Amino acid sequence: MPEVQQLGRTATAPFGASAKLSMVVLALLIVGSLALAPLVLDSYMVNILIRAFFVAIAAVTVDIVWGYCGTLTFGQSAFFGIGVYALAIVFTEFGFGSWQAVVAIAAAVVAAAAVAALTGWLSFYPGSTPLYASIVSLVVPIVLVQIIYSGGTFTGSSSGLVGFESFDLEFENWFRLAGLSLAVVTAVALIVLRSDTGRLLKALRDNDERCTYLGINTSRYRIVVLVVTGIVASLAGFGYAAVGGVAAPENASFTFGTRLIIMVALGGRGTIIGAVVGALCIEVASAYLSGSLPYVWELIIGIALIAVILAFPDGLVGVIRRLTRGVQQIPRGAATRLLPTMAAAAADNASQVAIEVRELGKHFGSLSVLDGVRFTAHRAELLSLVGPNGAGKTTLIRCLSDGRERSTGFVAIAGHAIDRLPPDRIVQFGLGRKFQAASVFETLTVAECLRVARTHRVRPSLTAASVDLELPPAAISVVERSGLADRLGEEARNLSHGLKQALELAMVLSLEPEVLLLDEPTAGLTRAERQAFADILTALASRDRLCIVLVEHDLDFVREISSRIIVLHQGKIALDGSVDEVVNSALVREIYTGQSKVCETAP
Amino acid sequence: MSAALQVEGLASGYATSEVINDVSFTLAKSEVLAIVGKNGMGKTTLLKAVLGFLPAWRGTVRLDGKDITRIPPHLKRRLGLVYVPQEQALFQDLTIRDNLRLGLLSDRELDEALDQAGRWFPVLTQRLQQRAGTLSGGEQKMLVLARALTARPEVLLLDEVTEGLQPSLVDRVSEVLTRVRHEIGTSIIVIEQHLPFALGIADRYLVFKRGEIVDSAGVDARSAARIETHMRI
Amino acid sequence: MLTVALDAVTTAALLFIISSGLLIVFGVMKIINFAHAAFVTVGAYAALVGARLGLPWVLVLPLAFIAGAACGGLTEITIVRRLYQRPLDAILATWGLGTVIGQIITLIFGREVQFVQAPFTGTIDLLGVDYSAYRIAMIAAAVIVALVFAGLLNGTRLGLSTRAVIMNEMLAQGLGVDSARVRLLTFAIGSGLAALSGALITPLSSVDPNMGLPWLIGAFMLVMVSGGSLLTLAVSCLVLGGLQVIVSTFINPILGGLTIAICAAIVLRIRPEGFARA
Repeated sequence: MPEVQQLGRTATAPFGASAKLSMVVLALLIVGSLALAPLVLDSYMVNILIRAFFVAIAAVTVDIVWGYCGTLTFGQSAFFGIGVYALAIVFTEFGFGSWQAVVAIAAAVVAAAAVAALTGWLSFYPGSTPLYASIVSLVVPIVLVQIIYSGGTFTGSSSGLVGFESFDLEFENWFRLAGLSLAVVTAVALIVLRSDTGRLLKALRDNDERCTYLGINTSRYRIVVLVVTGIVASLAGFGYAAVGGVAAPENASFTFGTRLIIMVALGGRGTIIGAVVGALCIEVASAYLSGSLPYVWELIIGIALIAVILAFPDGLVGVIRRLTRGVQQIPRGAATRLLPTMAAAAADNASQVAIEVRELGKHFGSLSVLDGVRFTAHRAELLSLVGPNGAGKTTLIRCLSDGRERSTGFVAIAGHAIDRLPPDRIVQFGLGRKFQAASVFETLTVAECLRVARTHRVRPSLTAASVDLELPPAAISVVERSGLADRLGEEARNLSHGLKQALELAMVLSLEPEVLLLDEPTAGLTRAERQAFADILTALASRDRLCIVLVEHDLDFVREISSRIIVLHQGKIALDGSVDEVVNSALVREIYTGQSKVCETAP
Repeated sequence: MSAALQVEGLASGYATSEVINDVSFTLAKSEVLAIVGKNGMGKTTLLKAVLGFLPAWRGTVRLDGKDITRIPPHLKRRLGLVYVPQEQALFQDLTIRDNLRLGLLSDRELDEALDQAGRWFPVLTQRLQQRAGTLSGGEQKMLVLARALTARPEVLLLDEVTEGLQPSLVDRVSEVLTRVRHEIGTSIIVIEQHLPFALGIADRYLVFKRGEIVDSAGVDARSAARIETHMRI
Repeated sequence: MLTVALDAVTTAALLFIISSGLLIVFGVMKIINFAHAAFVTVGAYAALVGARLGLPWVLVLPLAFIAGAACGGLTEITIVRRLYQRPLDAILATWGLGTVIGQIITLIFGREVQFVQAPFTGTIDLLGVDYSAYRIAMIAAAVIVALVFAGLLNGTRLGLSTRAVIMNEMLAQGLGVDSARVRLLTFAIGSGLAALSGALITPLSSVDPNMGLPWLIGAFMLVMVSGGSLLTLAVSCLVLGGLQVIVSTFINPILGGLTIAICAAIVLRIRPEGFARA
């Protein structure tokens, strides 16, 4: 039983007691200022701030989609516009009243959700690129604006809709309502993004492929995020139109969408606070300056955007943070506590066959990378896949882990046929794949990376950043042996190459896989690291009864730990047998002509 | 007379991992030096650092006495340092002729180069207008070698040039390299796992292991056995 | 009917000229230049200035090209060069540049819409239809541009180096190609083309500081669909441009404006790498 890392309360909130106190004080301050401000500021400023608050909410949604999830979206303005027009159209057609208000809100929410779902489906499919998602997000507001233009008197066309009766609130109360809404949205966003779910979103941004191979359906998460932020942006637009009494096509336009991005970029992407600061500053400054210096103000914004992207990608908030905190790498979060999971009852009557491959082929036109590959691998086997460069080893690994890769043939993992399933589904059958280049989440800490790896077994919390982390004993063993246990709070990008490899291995082991695929895992490791690795793999096969398939160039390593070797040559299996058979084979010697003779048995 | 290539205290690697550490060696004029060692030991990293595709964290590289450590790769080529990479050495979608063209610094020498390539490897000039991607693996290697040699290099760096070649072609490559070396005086570094080929044309060898040189000597009858002992764990 | 067909072909020709610059930049540098629209506008205003100075069109067109190339070169050196590793940020930074250029033009020339006279007016009688001579000339211009480009890319040493950089930059560098210079030249030429197209379209539409913008999205989508091949771009322009004209004429001009964007988004969903290898 591994030692518990740190005794302490099992805190489940992201903040400690003193932090909680300061938050309460902050909340009181905000509420207080919102209550008092309208009495102090002049009415022009109050007016501007009301609109700015609603725009800031939209900016926050842009930051969530862009700063946290990594999709450069020009389209959040479309959702804002949907909210604006939902209110304007309903109140214009049906007048103002309580049922009309309900219908308008419902329309805003439903329309936004539908458009967001469609946009998400179009943008986030397996294999899509961030660039394509950006393109789609560009097209959505353009299409929407054109629809508005062609709507005749229903939508007010290019002149928009005015003069509809709306909620009757005094300006001061609109101010408090808008300000409070912004504060609530910001607080909720911060809580969720600091929780385990927020870490998961950052993981999606950092390394989508790794997430897929951890069994996470990345498309579904991205679509859900888009729908939620779309609804929030739509409600912000709703409020904006309610107070302003005007609906204009510009509210839904691509230009407004880029404006929101500029606000987030200047304020500081990925911080939420940055979006709020950027939006408020730019809205207020625009209101005052665009009257007196119209073109110069736009010019300044353009220059500021270029400057920020080139020199200060963190934006204003980032600059302030660096000035106040210096460049220290403060380990983040409360110290994580590792706990072993209950050993899953080893189902002895479970199928012993871990991998089954029949007539596997991969062709590019007339070029055959793999042809007629067939083999069966069992639990507790440590199978090494060797062969000269270009023999098809990595392609074979890909065909085992992604149902869409192969051209022909049949593959089953842990008794389940993989058909044409994507990697995240195959991982759920019990497959773990470790990549050649250490594939981890650069901006997450070691503990956070491991927690993300547990996602498909343990649903991540929406509000809390858990302190306890349950890992299977095999993963804990790797974490402790490699020394990662002392660096749970460090960001992955600061780890050495060897430690990143260990981290990735621990992450993959956290899946509790039955089948483990490893692509040249010892590349770049020191002798000591290599030895530790060999020990870990051997234990995994014998004690935990994993089926391990290893692609390797280091034939000494292969000879030492394998129970079986498959030699691949020009896309076909040349030899499949025990270590002795293969090592002494004349065929192998011929394939590796002139290679330093591993085959000669050393005395 | 200064060495063709002199490397001193070179250290390089990727992001957080240092792969080669304090490597020093000299390549004399018209010499053939074989760098041997198993895969993953850092030989290609060494080449990339010498060429400038990876940053040299410490150390210097001198070409004919001149410090070229920080010069960008394309300028190193213009100084006569020619590199034949192990993978992706050809433009698959360009014709054989265009691939050969790109090996030269200007089109003026093209006709003579094409003639010469044809003399070494006749199969190439029969199919000048064909896309390089349609050639077999062995033919592609020949094209890559022809491209490198027609450039009349001062220093030639060959990374696993015999990989995937059948024995008769390996002999041909040996032949051509030896001839060119005598005609032009090119200094050559061959990175190889194919020991008979390497020891057949080299004057000296270095054994590279885990990012450093562990043995270095002139080639003689006992070299093969000596190198074997390093290849074991 | 013939008129519609001619409209389709001339629109395709215009789209081709405007998009080709963007395509070349994307092919070599793998980034999208959102300032492209601004360079189109620069060319248009260069033509305006040339017309006011009474210069003949023979001089106005090269003038526009040079103005665009100069802007492009400057952009590459100061901004784009630092953003090769961050393509999405390159989109944003070039968008920022686009607004900066737009504002500078507004400050100098004012916001009003202006007009430039075509170098020759009148119609040509084609198979019984009187069609604008200048629009027909667009087709010739597109063909010339395509030929010059194909010629440069396939016939010159620089073109070969450029193609090499597109395919495998590291290998090209190892062979002595100064890829930084290739990128600079490509960006400059692509921008020059954008400006040239701006000058060419001035007689057909009005000139104002934001005139390039509507073309940007269409050009961008066409480039993505073409996947890097000039030939495929020509075909895409014909197909999608033609579709746009047909939809505009027979269904609804507003819907027509959306045709390219929507069709391209769907096409890319089905075949993300575009059609270069089709």
